[in-house]
Amino acid sequence: MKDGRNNILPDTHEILTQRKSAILQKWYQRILNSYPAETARFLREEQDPFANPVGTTIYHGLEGLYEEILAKMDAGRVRDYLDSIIRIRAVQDFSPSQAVAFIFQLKHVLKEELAGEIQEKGLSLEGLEARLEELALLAFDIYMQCREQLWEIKVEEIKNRTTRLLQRANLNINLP
Amino acid sequence: MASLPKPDELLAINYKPPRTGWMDTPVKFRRGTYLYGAKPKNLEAVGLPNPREWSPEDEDWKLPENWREIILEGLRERLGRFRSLQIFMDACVRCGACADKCHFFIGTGDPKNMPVLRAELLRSVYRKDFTTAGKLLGKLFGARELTLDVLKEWYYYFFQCTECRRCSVFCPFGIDTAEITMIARELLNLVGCNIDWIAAPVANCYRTGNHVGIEPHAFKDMVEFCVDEIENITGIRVEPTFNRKGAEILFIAPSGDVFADPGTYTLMGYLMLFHEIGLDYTFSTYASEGGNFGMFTSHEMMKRLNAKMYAEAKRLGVKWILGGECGHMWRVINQYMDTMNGPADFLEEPVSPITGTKFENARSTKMVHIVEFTADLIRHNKIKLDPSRNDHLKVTFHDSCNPARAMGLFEEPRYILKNVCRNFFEMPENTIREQTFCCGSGSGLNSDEYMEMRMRGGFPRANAVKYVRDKYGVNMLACICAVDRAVFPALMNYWVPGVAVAGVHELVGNALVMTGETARETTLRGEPLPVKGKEENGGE
Repeated sequence: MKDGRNNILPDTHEILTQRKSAILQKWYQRILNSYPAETARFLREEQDPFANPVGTTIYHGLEGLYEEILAKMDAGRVRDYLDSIIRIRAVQDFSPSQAVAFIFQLKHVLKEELAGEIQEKGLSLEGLEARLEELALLAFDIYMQCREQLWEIKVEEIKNRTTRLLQRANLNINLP
Repeated sequence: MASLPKPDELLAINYKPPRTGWMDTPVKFRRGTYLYGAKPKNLEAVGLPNPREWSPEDEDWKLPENWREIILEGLRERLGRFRSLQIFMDACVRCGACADKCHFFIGTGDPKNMPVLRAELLRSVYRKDFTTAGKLLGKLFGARELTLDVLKEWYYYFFQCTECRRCSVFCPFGIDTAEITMIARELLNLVGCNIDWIAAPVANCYRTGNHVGIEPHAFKDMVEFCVDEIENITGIRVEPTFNRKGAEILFIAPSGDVFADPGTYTLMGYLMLFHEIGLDYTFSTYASEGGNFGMFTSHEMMKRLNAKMYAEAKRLGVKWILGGECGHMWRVINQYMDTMNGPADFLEEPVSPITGTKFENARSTKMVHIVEFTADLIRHNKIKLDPSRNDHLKVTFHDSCNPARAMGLFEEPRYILKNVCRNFFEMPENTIREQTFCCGSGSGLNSDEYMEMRMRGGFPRANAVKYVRDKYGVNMLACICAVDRAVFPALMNYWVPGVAVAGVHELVGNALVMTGETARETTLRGEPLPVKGKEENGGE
């Protein structure tokens, strides 16, 4: 995933690593804001991964993505982290754009959180933003895959319910 | 092109959910998240009111003119009939203990799926019309008028509760939110607002004895299809009988086990076991369904459909009834049957003809769960098992909601599994036994048009399966409910690929060493048996 354009400069990398926790929290909060307030509170506060699979999965996904953005952007891992988040949002009450918007939200968070550094030290986020664009494209693929899979599952279920019945009715229809 | 939004306009998405209060936010019916309305022929078949063509997406639901009076009168009548309902309406202090326990709340993030708020949907109307404070103070007292929007909201959310009762486990007052849903569905039925996925099985069951409407000859034919399969695999021809008078036991399984995979493999397991122990049993082609979608319609319908099982037991002159791996059938039997159609005095207290064990827990209903029956056989060493035939499987067990929370059946299925396979792993503690997470599709919500919502509701369960898949390599989710077997393949496919689904008795069938069988080469699914000596890692 590296083409030179999206290399993150060493200074930027250091600051992004130091500020990881604060940035991640803000990023997570942005995604939580897409849920009703009562739900957002629960998603943020309940730490048990089995009692709160949505919140914990999304948080771990964001954390993993952030680390990958700062590291080598391992294609497999990036895909897995994105998938874990988008798979949830693809079946929740979100439009496609809302489901994947969290990637762009990191831009806003960084500009807000690092405003001082950007202004004073001329910190450049160019390389990082290029990486986010890659993520956005990948997110589009994953979202579509999830939705297509949902329809495939539906078709499979209908076939499974009817195949035996058709067989027994001596209707030899070959469902592919 | 001129009408295309600019990039920053595109990004200016409103991520915020609506800011109106819950009472004033009407539901939107979007495909994938609601269930189709009952077709008129299915309501007519059982004499339910207001049969008509309609869709929840329509503005006009074609309700009777006095629908409001019908529902309020229905509520008044039920408050009088069910002391529990009156208490559930009054006792809640909104402590919030149940709020985050619902799989639909966890999976959808929709606050109206918090059990407390779901109950408030009904309670708010109760307050307005049945309490003095509500009449006087209105919204200040949490009361509101029953409007068309409220009715639509009821339809949306009371058919978005699987009546799994996980929330009830956590309620300090013991409020059974599932029963609130049951009453709300009864009220909706008074004006013809059922879902078709419930109404059709009810109509079918009433007419032919099972949900799919399989007629007697076809039912027999489909069971015999499994008989052929068993012969191919074991060389033994099992001989089930149908409608045989004078059999000792009437066996009733969910019809899902007869016509759809992977339930059919579970049926093969039952048939093999009964043959091996020489059980004197019969199927009934009229009581050919364990499931009872009447429970999701009204108390009267539940009673009506349950009655056929006992009528058949009486007609055939059996001593007692053995029931298959069904979910809500057991809630009906264990919690309601006895005061609806029971006690079944014309039957005998069930005694295992093989071990002599008296099933005292079934003294009144005269109906024994097959998992108790089989666990007892294993306990008394009455069957020979070769668990290595399941060595290719790493198994976990999903406590199906109704057998778990409505009858406390926790140990028996685990005892069987540990005897028929050697790799068994539990999911995390707060997702099993009485805290088990629902499949997300129970209580009649297992329709394909509802797939998106089912994926949300099933996520907490799938998440726990994913954990044991990733940690131990689990590749088989065992369960004892036909709805589970029907819906888990889809759920696993989406969330946890690589995990298949089986009834406990399919695994029993694999491991069961039958007298005179040929050397087995495949499992009941026709997959090659694991090579001996390989994969002998023990379970937990």
